[in-house]
Amino acid sequence: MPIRHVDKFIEAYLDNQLSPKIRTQVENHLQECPLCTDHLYEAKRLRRELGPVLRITLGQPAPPSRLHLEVKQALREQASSSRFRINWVAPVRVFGAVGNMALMAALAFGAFVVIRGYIPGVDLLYNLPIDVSSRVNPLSSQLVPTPILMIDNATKDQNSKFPKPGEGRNTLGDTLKNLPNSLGGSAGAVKDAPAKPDAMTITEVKGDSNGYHRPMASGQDYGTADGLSDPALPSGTIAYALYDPTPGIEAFRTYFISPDGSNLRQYALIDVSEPALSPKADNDYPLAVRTWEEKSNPRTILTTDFPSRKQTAVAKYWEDAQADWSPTENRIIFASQRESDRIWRLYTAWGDGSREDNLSREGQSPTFAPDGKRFAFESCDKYGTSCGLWVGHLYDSPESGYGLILEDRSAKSPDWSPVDEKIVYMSNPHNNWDLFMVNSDGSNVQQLTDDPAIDGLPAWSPDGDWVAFISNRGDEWGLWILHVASGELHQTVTFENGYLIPEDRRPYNEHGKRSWLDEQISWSSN
Amino acid sequence: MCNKDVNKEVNENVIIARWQAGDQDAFDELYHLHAQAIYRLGWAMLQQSQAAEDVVQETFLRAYKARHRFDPTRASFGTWLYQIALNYCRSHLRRKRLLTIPWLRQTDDAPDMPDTRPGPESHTLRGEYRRMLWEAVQGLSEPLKEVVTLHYYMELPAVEIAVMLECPEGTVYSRLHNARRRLAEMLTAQGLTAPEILEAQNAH
Repeated sequence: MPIRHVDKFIEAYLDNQLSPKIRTQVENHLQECPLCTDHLYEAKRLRRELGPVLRITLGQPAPPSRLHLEVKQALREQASSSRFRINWVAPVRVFGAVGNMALMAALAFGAFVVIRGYIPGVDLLYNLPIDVSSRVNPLSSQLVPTPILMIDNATKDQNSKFPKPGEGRNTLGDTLKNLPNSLGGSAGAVKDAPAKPDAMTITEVKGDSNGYHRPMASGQDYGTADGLSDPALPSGTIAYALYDPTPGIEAFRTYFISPDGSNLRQYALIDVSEPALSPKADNDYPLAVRTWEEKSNPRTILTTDFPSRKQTAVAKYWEDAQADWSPTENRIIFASQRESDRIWRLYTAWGDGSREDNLSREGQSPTFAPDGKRFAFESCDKYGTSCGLWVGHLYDSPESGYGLILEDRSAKSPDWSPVDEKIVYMSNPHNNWDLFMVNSDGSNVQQLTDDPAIDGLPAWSPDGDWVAFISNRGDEWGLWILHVASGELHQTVTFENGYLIPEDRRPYNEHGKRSWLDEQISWSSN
Repeated sequence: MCNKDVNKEVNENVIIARWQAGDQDAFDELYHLHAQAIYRLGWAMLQQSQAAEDVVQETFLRAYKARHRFDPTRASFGTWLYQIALNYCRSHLRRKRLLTIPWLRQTDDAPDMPDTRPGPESHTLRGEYRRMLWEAVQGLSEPLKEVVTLHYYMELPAVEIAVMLECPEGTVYSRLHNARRRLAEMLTAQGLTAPEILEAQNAH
């Protein structure tokens, strides 16, 4: 049992708010640790001083007696005529501030246009209006791109729920960019992309909405040749996001690929990542993504309604992240740092954006169990100890109903099997990220990979037999799949020179660097 | 004692019910019960008497507008009012930050309080320590200053603060812990070592 300092418990200890068990542990530790004892004295001193200092300096003022009548009067006005007391000072100041901000914004905009050489937001008009179905697009209807997956007839399953070309959806191909099979992943897109890729998309759209379908890669070009034609390879679609560092783009692109490396497609919406595909066959909203684009509004988690190809913002804040679909409902669970303390907390929302619920629990990377009620996530208890994987239930109290199943501070990105009680996750116990598996009751921890390369971001296959993950084996990042029972391993695709992450997180998050660890991948049968 | 508290609570519930129905007298009673605490909260957060008066007024206006949303199972009426007041203070501070562009700054934005000019007491080590401690509190980040004010000045228990801030109780304690570490650091940076602090506290 490692010795932990109890500094952070001291306030709760002095307030007598610790459970008897933790209290005993704290007291035992204090007897042995001079450092924590010092902190205890320091806390006691401050407690003794802070109250009096604040009370002496601030005084104990009382509101003037006239205030009672003023408030009463204001209430009466509010009640009778809905008029508020107008304080002219505030509006004048606000006008002043707004004017100044507008001036500064105009200057910044001007500087941006001069430096970057194009007007920000123009491409967005073409690229993706939110909820296009309910808006009149100023451009011709042919140019209205709606986000949708491109499906290759040759390789796509017959039972696909995604719309197929030629089904009368005349804008089907409009917003997709099929990747040439010789290019292999995002790097190809990067290499061949003209300086203004958005412009190119539009040009192609003008030419022929469906005319640029090209034969898909058969898979041999990606990864290991052997086994790619193996009929036993699993089916479905794996979604992942790569960062495209091309100057002028500098954005995430989200891709879809079959596990055998064929059928590589790019999602129409640029600068979205952390994709989550719904495992539910009749879900109207099969995809959730996190949007980064500052120009898009709102910048948060979006779901896509494929029947009407409508984008719906299901969350409210740009910090909302790490969505995972319920296998039983049109519902996502996600984590967000939206509160001012920047602590990750868990939320759920309906795919149609109709309601959001705060689970009132700190945590990250939530993942639903097959029953759609329980979920696993990474977190610590409220004292910052007992860190690792937790399991909660939507209807349980976060305080008493959630349980720690695995104590492992480095355990990350859990994914709960769609068919049973196994949870796959990544951990770096020896300073090397590998994949592990644990039962939802915390039993039977198994290490799945032990390659010296990084293995991470695991995602179960829909049948629960395979795990897709990201790895930099052979010094190249790529997507791999692992058959859990046999250990059989295949590479699905190599991200040639592709970036998993921006090197500098600045445009994405002012609170630190974004690394590959922050991404997620997703695998569905659709 | 216990019965008295229960009676008091029942009594307040009756008043709240009348107030929700629009009874003016009920408002008077609630005002007398809570206005002073709200005024002090506003005063401690904004340190301007006019602003503190606005806090009281806005809190009661907003509370009245939202009176049917008050949920007694979630928080006491006082905590609910505090929460409204705190939100108003936060937006006021945000607005103020927006407006504190140097050339826009107006003289009446300066706090009325506190007067930290050296007084007779500051010649003693204890007085000096208190002044430094006050300045250190002012130097805390907004969320930390908030919990320090609520806990040590308003003397609210952590569990109530947690309801107001809509965060777990553990978060309140971790902020109090962070605030203590920050204050200790700042006092050390001021050159006050632990023995001196101890001496200052023992001095009378």
